[in-house]
Amino acid sequence: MAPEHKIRKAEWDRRLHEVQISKQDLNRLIMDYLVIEGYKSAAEEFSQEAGLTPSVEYKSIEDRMHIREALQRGDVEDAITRVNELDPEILDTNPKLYFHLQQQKLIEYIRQGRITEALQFAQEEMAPRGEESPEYLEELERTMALLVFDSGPSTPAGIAELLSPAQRLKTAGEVNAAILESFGQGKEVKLVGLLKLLCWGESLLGEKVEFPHVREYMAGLEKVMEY
Amino acid sequence: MRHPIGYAARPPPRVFEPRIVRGPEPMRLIDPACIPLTSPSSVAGPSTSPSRTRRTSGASLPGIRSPSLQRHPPGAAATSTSASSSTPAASSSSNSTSFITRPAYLEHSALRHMLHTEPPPGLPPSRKMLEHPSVSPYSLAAQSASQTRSYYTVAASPSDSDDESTVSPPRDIPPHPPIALASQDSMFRLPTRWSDHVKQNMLSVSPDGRDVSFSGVAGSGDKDAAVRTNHPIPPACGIYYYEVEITGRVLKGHEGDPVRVCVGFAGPEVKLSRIPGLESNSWGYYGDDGCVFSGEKTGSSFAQTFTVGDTIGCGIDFTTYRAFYTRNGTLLGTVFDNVGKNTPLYPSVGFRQSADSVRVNFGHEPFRYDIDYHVQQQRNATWAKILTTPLDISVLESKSIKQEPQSPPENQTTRTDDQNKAAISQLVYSYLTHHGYVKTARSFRNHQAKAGASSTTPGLPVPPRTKLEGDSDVEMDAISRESNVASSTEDDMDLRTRIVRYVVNGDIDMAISETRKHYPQALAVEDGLMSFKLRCRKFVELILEAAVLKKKMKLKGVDPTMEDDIYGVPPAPRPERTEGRGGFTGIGEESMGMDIDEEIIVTETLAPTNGTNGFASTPSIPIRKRPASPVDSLFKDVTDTPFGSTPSISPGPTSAPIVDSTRGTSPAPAVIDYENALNQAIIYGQGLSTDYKDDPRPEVKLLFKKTFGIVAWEDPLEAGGVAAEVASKEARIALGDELNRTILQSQGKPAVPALEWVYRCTAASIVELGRQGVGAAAFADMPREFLDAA
Repeated sequence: MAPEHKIRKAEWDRRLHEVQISKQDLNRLIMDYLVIEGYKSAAEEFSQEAGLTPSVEYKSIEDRMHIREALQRGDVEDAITRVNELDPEILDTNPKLYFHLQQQKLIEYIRQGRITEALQFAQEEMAPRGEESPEYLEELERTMALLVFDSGPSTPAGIAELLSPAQRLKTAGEVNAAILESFGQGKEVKLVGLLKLLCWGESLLGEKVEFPHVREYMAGLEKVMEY
Repeated sequence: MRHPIGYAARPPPRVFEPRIVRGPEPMRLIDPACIPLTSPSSVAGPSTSPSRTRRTSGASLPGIRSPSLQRHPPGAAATSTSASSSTPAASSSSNSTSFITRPAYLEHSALRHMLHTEPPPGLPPSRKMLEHPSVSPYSLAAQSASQTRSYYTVAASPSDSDDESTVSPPRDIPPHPPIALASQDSMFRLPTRWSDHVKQNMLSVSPDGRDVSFSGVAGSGDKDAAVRTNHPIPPACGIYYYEVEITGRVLKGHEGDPVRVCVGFAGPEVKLSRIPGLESNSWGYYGDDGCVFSGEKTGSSFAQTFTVGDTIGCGIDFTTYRAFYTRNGTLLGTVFDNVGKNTPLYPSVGFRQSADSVRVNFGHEPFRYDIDYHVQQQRNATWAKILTTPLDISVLESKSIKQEPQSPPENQTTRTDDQNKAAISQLVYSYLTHHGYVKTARSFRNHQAKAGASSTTPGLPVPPRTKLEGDSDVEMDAISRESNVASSTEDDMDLRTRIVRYVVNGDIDMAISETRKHYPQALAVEDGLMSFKLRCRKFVELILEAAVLKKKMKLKGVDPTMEDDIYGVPPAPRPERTEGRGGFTGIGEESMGMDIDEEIIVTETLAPTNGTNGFASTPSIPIRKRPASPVDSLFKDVTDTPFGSTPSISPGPTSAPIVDSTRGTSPAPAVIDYENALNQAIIYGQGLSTDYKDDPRPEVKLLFKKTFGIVAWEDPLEAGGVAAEVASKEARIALGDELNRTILQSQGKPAVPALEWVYRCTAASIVELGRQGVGAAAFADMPREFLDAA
């Protein structure tokens, strides 16, 4: 349905101006991002420069950073140890998360060509859990398929992606969210929520009326966005 | 929850004016809003009203629609067999002062600021009145101010919302609406009573609009009787809920018999001679058989029957367009689809049996059902659902941006996770550089660079390591512009931040000369407007210096022992730079005779004034403790930025104070100080005047007037009003922000950070969605989700 009505720029500008938001508010959004995404030193600087107190201990930011880094370099064992040092409850209460960490470990074995260890680990640690739920079993099978395809070009995308850096990031993100949740901290970056809401709102409103979209206000941003 | 900043931060007036009964709705099978009003101004005031508009406040309110003009003549209804009649006899012209505020559960709506039970006094009943704003001036009533933050700064100017239906297309908005009318469209009226007029003629509505009873002959079909409310339900509620108690008489031997009452909703065109649910665009739950009806003759079995003494609750969830019912505080279930999706929706009850009656609760008193909890659950579910929206950062890409090379050439418009992540980083980084959070930006970029090296995540551009690392402000000037953009962005940010800091610290001369050196175009834009503003501030600083010296002089005269306790004397200012026509070598050499470290005790509280929006932003340009001007220490408590966190600027003038041997015994040196300072200020002012007195621009003239106005006050800071405003620390901060924006703009950069646009655009979209009848928008509470501390 094409929108029949239009909100003019001047009217929209006026409404934008009416929106209640201050620099302090935006600063807190920034701080939330820095903390959750693990930018420890930037968060420290920002609390100084903007006069904000972060909602969490810097130490915990660092801990999460180390865990993420361990996963990103493929050291799953180190990540698991660190998570348990932080709070053993996290993995105890998140069987799915623990399974995904084990899966990541299996992936890393395969990546390194440690086939014997991979098989042993799969059979002893993971197969029993695969029986717990069909979802686990399917994931296990998908991972084991890596052994067959040997990461050649013929490997189906759904399987090859397990070896991609994105898979590591995905697992790291999951762990990060679980830790944040255990601290009673919001797990999604507010800034991301804001952008999702923007996507939701603009597309829905676009069906009803014609209005100036946010991209019209981003002119000039490319100077920053496009290096 | 914290209070909002700015206008809406004031404690909301929870007590509303006594309600003013609106005139009756027209009685046709058309949308009432479509009927043009006769000139309301001509009928304003109670004197023209024969009946129902008693005003306890007594004020003559323009624009109150007189019932007499709208009402059908008595008796006209008698011959009518269909819905479109009114019976003055039955409505028994009443004085209605039923008091109702916005029901508490509606506080869960993010759009609550748009929801009102009554217009504030003095407002016209219809937006049609907007065509005659002179007749009925709007006031920016604070009535709607909510206890928690909402989207807009000022309470909206109310207007009638009869035609703010889900089907009404938005009107064309005038290109330049007066600001006082700013949020006229943001007002929705909630149902507050049964209508005296939108009812079948055998129904009587009590004076307070809550009770309705059927006095007709028992019948069926076209002999049903229904009533609707005075206003439709705004979908911006998210969820709307009301309860009716079945109150009719019970005949002996018939206790517990089901009543022939139907509770539900109806559109504006539904016949009032049918119970809700029988006609299309109406929905009802019928007590006699426990069935629910949605525009059909045969209902479907739903729940138990109900009887006298039962309380039936009826809700509409605009996030799903489904209705739900409760009985005596217990949820019965959810029914129907597309309720109110294509029609304005009014609460409605229908009757079929004489002597049946109901009493309604539109929020007049606590509900039997825990609607608050219900709404909270739904809000959380709706919000969670919104957050499943896939993130696609391409919404931020202005059309001129060419597709990045690595993105697939095909029709793929969405962005990958990595691209999204990178774009968010850019959003953050551009915000940090915009506001000059130098160290944060640098640290953030370094972290990104490190992360970028160890993964495939695209990071921020990595500039070559330069001596930018660490505190190197002193070296800044020497650093030649790197060709690398990121590096030059940070050079630029350093410079800009430093200049802004000069302004905030009151060292206007340094600000001007540095700006001239590095950003000459910023001073040149708009025919030198920025330059003029800075020089005006310089004049203010000189006057303030003189005022401080005068104070000191007086104190010395009165009680020499006080000086150490009350006003310290600032360090001698650095020698004046020659600046424009105001060049003057001034008071720098005067010996102040007091310790440089003494700080002036601030006896009054200069609360930081937070800008009402990000354009007039709150002070957070980091400033350093650096007593650059004598008045600077006056302000020492008013900034919310950390002092001395990282003093990269050398700590102020170092000219050692010379001990005044005559201290305390003779006022003479102090007098000389003062006179010198005053002289200098005046000479500077004269130069300013010569340069700009012929500038015809109103903005220049106004600032000129305001600036020179402060000379009239002995102590402008204590003068209050405009003088204190001009002299205030906040004015410095605002000027610093303005200079920052001007510099950015002069480089072709955005004056408002992208992140701020993102927030503003999102908020405006959500509010407009609410206005357009998208109920889910009510549960996208941005201040709650993004701003309030968890």
